[in-house]
Amino acid sequence: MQPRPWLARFARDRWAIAGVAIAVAITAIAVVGPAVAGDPTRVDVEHGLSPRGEPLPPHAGAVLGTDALGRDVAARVVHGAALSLPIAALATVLACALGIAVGVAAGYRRGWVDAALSRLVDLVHGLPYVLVVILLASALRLSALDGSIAPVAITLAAFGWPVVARPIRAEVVALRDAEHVVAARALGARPARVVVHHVLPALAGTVVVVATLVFSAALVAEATLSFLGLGPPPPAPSWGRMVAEGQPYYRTAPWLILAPATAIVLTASAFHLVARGLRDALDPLRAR
Amino acid sequence: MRSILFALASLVVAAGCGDDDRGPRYRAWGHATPRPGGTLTFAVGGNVATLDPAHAYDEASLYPLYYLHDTLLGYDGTTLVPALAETWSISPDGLTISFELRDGVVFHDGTPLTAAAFDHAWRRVLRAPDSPFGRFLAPLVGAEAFAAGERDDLPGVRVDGPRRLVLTLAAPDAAFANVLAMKFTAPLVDGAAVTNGTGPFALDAWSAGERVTLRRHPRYWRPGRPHLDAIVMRESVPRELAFLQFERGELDTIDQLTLPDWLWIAAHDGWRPYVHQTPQMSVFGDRFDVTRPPFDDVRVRRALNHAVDKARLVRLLGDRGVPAHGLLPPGLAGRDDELAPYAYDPARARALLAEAGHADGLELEYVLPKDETAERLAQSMQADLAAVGVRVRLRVLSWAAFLDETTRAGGAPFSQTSWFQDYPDASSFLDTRLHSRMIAPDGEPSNNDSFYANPEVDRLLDEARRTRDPSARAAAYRQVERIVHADAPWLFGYHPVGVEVVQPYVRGFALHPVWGRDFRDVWLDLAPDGARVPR
Amino acid sequence: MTRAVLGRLAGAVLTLWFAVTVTFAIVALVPADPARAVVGPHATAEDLARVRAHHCLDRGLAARYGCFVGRLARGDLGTSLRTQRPVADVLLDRVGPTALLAGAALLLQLAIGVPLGVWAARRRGRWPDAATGAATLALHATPAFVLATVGLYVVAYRWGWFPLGGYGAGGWDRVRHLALPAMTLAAGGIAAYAHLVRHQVGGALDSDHVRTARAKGAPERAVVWRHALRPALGPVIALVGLDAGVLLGGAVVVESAFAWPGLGRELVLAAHDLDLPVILGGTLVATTATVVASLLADSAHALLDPRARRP
Repeated sequence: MQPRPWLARFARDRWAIAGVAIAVAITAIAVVGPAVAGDPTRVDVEHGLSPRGEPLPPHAGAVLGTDALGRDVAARVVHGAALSLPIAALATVLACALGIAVGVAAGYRRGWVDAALSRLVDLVHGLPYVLVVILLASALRLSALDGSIAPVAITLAAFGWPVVARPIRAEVVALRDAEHVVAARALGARPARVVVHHVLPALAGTVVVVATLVFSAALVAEATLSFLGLGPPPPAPSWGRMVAEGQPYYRTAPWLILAPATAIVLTASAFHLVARGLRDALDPLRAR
Repeated sequence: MRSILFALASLVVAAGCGDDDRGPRYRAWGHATPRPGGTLTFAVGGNVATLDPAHAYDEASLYPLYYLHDTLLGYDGTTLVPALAETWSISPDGLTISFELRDGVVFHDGTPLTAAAFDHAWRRVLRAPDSPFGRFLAPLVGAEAFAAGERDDLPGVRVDGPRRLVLTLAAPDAAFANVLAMKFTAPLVDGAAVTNGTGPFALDAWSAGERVTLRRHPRYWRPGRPHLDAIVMRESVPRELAFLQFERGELDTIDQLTLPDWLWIAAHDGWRPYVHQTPQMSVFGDRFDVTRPPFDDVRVRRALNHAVDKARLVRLLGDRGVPAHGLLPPGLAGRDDELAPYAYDPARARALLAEAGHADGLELEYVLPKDETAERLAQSMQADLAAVGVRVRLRVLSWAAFLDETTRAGGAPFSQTSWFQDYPDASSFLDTRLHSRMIAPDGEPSNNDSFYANPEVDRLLDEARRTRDPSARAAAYRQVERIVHADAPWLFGYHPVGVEVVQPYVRGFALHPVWGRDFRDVWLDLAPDGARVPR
Repeated sequence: MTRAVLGRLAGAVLTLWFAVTVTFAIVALVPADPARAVVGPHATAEDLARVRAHHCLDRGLAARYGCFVGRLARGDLGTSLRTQRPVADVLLDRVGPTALLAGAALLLQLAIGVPLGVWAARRRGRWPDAATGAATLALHATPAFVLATVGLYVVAYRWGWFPLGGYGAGGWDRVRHLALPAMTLAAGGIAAYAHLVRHQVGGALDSDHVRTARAKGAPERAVVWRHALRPALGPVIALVGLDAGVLLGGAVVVESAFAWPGLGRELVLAAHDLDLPVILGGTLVATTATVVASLLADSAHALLDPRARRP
């Protein structure tokens, strides 16, 4: 079978392939790693710290060093993958679900529905993002959801969905007048059927691109929320929390920031590269 | 892969060290007697909320007030001594306190000090909406009715001529005189700014959120003081940033070092002579709501006390702490120094838990405020408790939510807590935090947030409050200490040790047992032309 | 024309109302009562009651909303719970430093990002293009507080190029203090502008009118800056309009790290203390800034490109 043209284009993009490789590797670590790596919450003040009480630099017993409580940073980074990736993934799924629903409804129905929903997108976009994120994250802290990964993911999704809705709406507006959609409508298909069978499949490319972008942004946002004290509660080894906890040690024990920050940058970059490769492959004109 | 990471990490470590490893950049010139002049600069992490003595209750806002305002009484060590008062006396029944004011004291604006200035300031506090201090004046006759607006005179405060002030208490209160050293009792001139005080420094400028600048009060009542021309306090400087500023010489003194910065300083011999340490008048620990299961069982409370390794908590502070056996910090009259902290004994803890019917362990939730140190210690405690079968879930809340959640009946039953003295008297800890009188009705916020009600403790505390004989008071408080230790309404934690590091040319500095950092007698040992001398 | 202006105005008011209402709703979700944090541990029940009454905290949700938003609508921002200062004063103190920081960051973004994008576009496929691409990626994926920490430690402390945080004393000293936080705040945006310009210019360089200009013998420099950059201006201006909100958000972290006395830091403190009057006032200011920025961007767009003008 002849490979699809976009797939062939994608396969020729070295950067994108590198992105895929890294993303797959990190996802594998998130799935398999926790079973293999040590206990990320084992406090060891007696052996995990220097006689003066400083975190230990990388050594044979702890390849990425230890943190302020003598815990193994490598084990925490590996377990962190199993925490940070689901947080970002959940945020992405929620943001995409809402964004697609709004984008499709607005683009397909047009008229007042479009006007109202587009206005809503603009309004949410106009909110002072960081302030409302801080407020919502602290509010969710006091809810029954506290302790799970949900508060961070919900917070990021609650104000991140317009990023998805905008391009989806634009795409649907164009699709609406595409020949096969017009034909389906002319044959008397109900709107729901037209959307499910003819519009949504055509959106797949855009959705994948936007979703990967949202995903990598969510990874970084989790770190900022943790820095502001609103990430997952301790002792959760989420990457963002690790970077935030390591921040006072930047001068004397830089590995505490370096290890998780590298993980974040690497993962976010990988997904970003994949997104860029996909976009270029799907829309070759833009890629020049 | 492993070796690459290793090499990368070592590279970063190498880049991170290097020329950081040195002692102070400056040295003292070596003047034999205090050299007048110069500006002392320091930084605080918080934001100055207000310079109004009737409202300033947080650390950052109180700092400038130490220099702007003097009060009737002050402290020599932890002993009350006259300050703006020349002499003071208490009547034999303990109900009347009279003060003769010092002659020649003037406010920053030149107004001479009179007894009426105190009356004005106190009426202002009693009537100020949202002032956290009104209750401290409640022992004065008529104060509560005045505050409520039921009467417009304040019979407990009598201005007897310009220099004599007579206070009348509704009931004997041995601790009340301490209130007269608190900054909200400072005299104020009617119609002048609230920063116009009688202290050694006057307000030069306050650029809110950025810095407070104070300049020398030329007509200060203590001869030859202050030595400094000016004090600059930078606000809202993160602690890591403050350390860089200090190391580079932009700040003359620093406290509240982060753990890594403190360990770095402690590792350098060059800094050793310039490190000051003293136990603070405060206590940190974890409170239980003793009315709620499983904490209504004293065996559970004792078990948890045995399960936590306090020596390790202190180690995780960089040894800047003393394990606590109760609430009273070292050096406070009434502390029972013979009591030892609960021994770290996991086996004993397990046995006690089993006795209480929790052989299979417990699931608890622990609430703490967003704070780097609190989070570090909570995770250590979490690991300790897990070792005896108690699984703890941590919840970190912002400050306002934390206070609300942990001080009212029905809120979180197990949480981090701390108490800083309002004045150095056992009553400031024990009455406030453990007297049943401090349990508020109707689910309102309570200072006795353990909801600990022990009639014997109440009786001893009331008796000590009325007693004027210091040794009889101390004996009563020691008795309370022993009961509280056994009843364990808290998981007793530690008393922090305050650490201040000063540049070598900062002279005359000592950590005050009551006020902590105190720059009123400081002078700068700089070159005769005022320049700092590089080492 | 008047109708269009009125429409935009109504839209702006709607945006402000929405922002305030959403913020209020989130804070109302928090079941905590900030009164205890306000009056301190020694307050009497009467003190607590007084504070709650003063700030409408003792009322039902609807009444509280009416109390806060009604006050805002009348132009009264209320007083801060935490400091008892009028919110208008607090915000006035803070807006200047933040505007200065965000403005400087925006200028840096344009002054560095646009030439960088043009440069990369002219060398498509070669190393400058790959390098700006990689830098874009890395900056997008680095949390702002890590960038701030590295900047303070390496650039300011180790190399000694800039002061270690603070607001400076005005004049040249202020500029020195401004440089590093502005660079930190601008970093992510520089990458975004470079990326955008690279794509726009890259496309334009292959277009017919650029080819025509080249064929006519116009010097390459003129071709790039006059012809190829032209179509990129629209999207760049649109990005400026959207950027205001991003810069204000970034200011939260940057101001805290550099001890810069701005609005972002104040709002974080207010959020922690549930200081609703300051939170709502800050929301109003921040949203106004984004609304004004997008209005300005639209007007600039209309001036540059007559096609964008609506009848």
